[in-house]
Amino acid sequence: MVSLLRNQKVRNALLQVLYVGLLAALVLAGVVIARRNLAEQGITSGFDFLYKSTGWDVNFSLLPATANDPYWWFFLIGIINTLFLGTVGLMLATLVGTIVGLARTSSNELARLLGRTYVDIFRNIPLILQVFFWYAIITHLPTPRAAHEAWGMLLTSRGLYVPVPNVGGIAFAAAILAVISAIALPLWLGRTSRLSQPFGERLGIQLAAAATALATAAVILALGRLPDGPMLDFPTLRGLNLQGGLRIPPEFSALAIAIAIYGGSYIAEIVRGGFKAVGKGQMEAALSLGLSPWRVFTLVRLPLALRAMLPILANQYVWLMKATTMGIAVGFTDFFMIVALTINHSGQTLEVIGILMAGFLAINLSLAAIFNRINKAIALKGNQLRG
Amino acid sequence: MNSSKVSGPAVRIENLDKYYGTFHALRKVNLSVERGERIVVCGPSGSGKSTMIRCINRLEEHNGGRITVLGTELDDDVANIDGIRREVGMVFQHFNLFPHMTVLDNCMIAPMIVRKLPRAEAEATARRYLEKVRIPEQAMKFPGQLSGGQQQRVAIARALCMQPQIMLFDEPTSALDPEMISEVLDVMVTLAADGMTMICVTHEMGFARRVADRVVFMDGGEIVEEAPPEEFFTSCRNERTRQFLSQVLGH
Amino acid sequence: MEMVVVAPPAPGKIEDLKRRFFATPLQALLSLISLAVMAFIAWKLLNWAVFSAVFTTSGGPEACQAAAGACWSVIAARWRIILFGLYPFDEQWRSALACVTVVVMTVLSCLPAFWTGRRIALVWGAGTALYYVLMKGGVLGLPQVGEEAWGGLALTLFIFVTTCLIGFPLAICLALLRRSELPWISRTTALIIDGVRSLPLISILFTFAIVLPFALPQWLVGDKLYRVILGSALFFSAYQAEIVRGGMQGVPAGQEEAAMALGMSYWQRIGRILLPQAMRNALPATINQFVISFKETSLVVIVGFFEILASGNAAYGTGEWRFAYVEVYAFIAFIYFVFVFSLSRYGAFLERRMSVGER
Repeated sequence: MVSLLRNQKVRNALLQVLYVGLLAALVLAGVVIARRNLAEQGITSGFDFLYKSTGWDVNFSLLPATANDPYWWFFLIGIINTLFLGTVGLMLATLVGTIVGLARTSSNELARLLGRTYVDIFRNIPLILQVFFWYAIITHLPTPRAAHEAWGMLLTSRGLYVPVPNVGGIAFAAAILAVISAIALPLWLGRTSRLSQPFGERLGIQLAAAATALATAAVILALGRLPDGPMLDFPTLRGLNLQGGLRIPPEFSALAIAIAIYGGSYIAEIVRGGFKAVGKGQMEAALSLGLSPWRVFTLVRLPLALRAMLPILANQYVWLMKATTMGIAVGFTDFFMIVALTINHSGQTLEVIGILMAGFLAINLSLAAIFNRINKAIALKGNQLRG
Repeated sequence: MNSSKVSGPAVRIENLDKYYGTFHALRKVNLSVERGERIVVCGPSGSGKSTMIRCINRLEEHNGGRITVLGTELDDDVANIDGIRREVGMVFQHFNLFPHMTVLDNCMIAPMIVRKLPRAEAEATARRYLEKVRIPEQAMKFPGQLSGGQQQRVAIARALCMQPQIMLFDEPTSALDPEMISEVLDVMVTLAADGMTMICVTHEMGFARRVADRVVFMDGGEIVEEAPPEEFFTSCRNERTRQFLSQVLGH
Repeated sequence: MEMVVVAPPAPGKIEDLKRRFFATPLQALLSLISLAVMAFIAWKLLNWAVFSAVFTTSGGPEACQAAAGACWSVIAARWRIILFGLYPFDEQWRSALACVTVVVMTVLSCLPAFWTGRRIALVWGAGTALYYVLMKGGVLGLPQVGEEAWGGLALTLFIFVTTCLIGFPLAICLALLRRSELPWISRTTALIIDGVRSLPLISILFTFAIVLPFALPQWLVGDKLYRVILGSALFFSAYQAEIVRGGMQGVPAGQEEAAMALGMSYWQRIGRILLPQAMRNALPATINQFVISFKETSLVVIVGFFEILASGNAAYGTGEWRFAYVEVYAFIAFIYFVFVFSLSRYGAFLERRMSVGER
């Protein structure tokens, strides 16, 4: 027996069995105990509850939602809310980050100082504190009766009211798609190898494509216009309340602003790192070819820097998506808050935790897949020495 | 393990087989090394010579055949592996000194924690061997502050501090600048003169001629030729050996 | 060290400024815009925070609200609740002393003299024990104060310190398990690490605080505070494990081979050869992880702890100081900033020093 334990192979097998077995036993014991405890409270395990109506409402939804809707519908709403907030936050943060990052790499000392101050301040204050801060600011804005007005928007403690086109939901979504393709199409055309025309002609084709897509969007909006009311629906004060326009609730704006500012400070550092990674040799080579500084930037520096940034940026975006869970701090019904509310109301703890994990796994994996595709598409072909 | 009292060869390798995945790195290798014998192993790169000596102290696990070191068979028994490693010292191509310790600590750590020697005794041993490899004055420096040749001599001293009965050398001079090779070879010659059992993988044919009792030539995972140096260099029988020798000596 | 720089004939101040900020029209424009933005923000900020601000409590909240600038009186009136939460008033010196302990501990661990496994463990072990005795009391004539009364900055620091204290050894274990040669051990560990990393921290804190009691036998449930600390430590360790593993990958394979050839056992190789080198490689990333972890400690407010954010909310949330939320948040932000900024500056300094030292 003792000599058997001294055998390396036996030892290794035993260690593995022990380790995996112990972990499995722990998880299993937890599940068994939880099921017993829940059963004592009269909660039957299983996923039947998904089809029951919730009996509570959500305060933010892009899809129609009432208290009569079933749980699965609410989970869907939660996921969409998370993705929506995440995408908006991610775009804003990228915008902020790019501006600040460019300021940090600029040749101007004052601009660099400004960028650096921004990063140093907002990176070093926890995101949730910034969320609380903006939420407090927004909810302390004047009441609707005394609302601030700017460019047809109303700033109130009940949220931000913005004018919206007076069109049906499907037409609106289609128009948004058309606008997105107005940006994406020229980019795609620029990349396909079939277009071997000289630079000028290619630009013409790209512009034409963008114009066509934008025109399509305009047509869709005109066709989808609702019969009554003007083309643009402005928010206005009627009595004590506001009517018309689109209300962006304070929860959403506070989160979006905080994510944009905090995430922006991180993305700024990524942008700076990306530009720093571009070798001096490549820039000198480009300049020695007689390219103008602007051309050097757009044709050499930017594309190379983007390639260096992308993998780190992907991680940052995954992080930003997860940061939407702070919604629960101010009562924004993101996926996680729906999960927490469901556990509170239905008691289906184990199943809901499973759904939570599956949901985030799916979000992470799909983001990773998207970024892998992009990375592959833009990766430099073949092996080359990096300077 | 009172192996010093056990009679028989220091190392006996019988029908040794080693695979890396599907690659057959060692094919039925047989070699026996007597106590006090000095063996030089040579051969083209990828011939399996390093793999063979790394099997002797189980840095690589063999897949077939038997290895017996100082009368103990190297098998899956953990105690046997530990015992053999204590008695077999090794010097690597890239020195592998511990960069976060001083030269002295490099030499003292194994005797202290493996052989459980008291600190004073370990230090005395370490200083004695540093003297032997002719760098006592570098004891308090860190490996990164030494030249390649000095580092390799420290590595030899470190292995000797465990007072091994067998020393393995895995291309000890291949990573050195030419002017530093001789200082390392000189130390190895002294060691050979002291009667240490040595198995050296090296391309230094001058060293082989001077110290080796036997030269072993390997190619394609097999031992192709095995002979005393004068015979090996003058009248080798195998075509592959001749070709190799002409490449090593031919310029 | 004295540096003697032979300067070229110094150009006039004006020319120097011109060269640095107004070399080209574009540069001049950029400089002017940056300067305008900075001046605007600085003026607004100074005006609000200093010139028109009220610093004393003498006028009460009303005088403060009427002022055009910041109302720092709220801090003067409520700093105790922000820093110490609901800790008994007469015992708050203990809470303050406990905070100082943590700061001293952090500073000590930044000194290279303490960078051996044993010393750092000693500093953190003793520091945490001292903190616990001070806060909890019940010995040495100190009245006992239960964990439910801990709050404010003191609680934030406690959660952070215990998270690191538990999470760090756990991270090393996870890293070692993940790089194990035994396939089932390394795969299972990889599953755990990647699983935890794919989840947001809030969901883990929530699970440990609210869901875990269902899945534990009665005698194991324990205080919610310690469950949350465990959850936070698990999260920390999953990230830190990857950092430590990265550090281990930076140690050449020859190091372990040499140790094996000298007859060292697995634990001797890990403890004496691998870890000291791996931790050195991983130091900058580790400090960065500490910084992130300190910021994330603030998330425990969501599972209902009275840490510094919650106590800040309470400081302005009720009655007379309701209007002074910006000041309270600014104060808390400043506290965080001091901790986080100095730690991350230190990390950047180390990184520079190490990259120079390698040459």
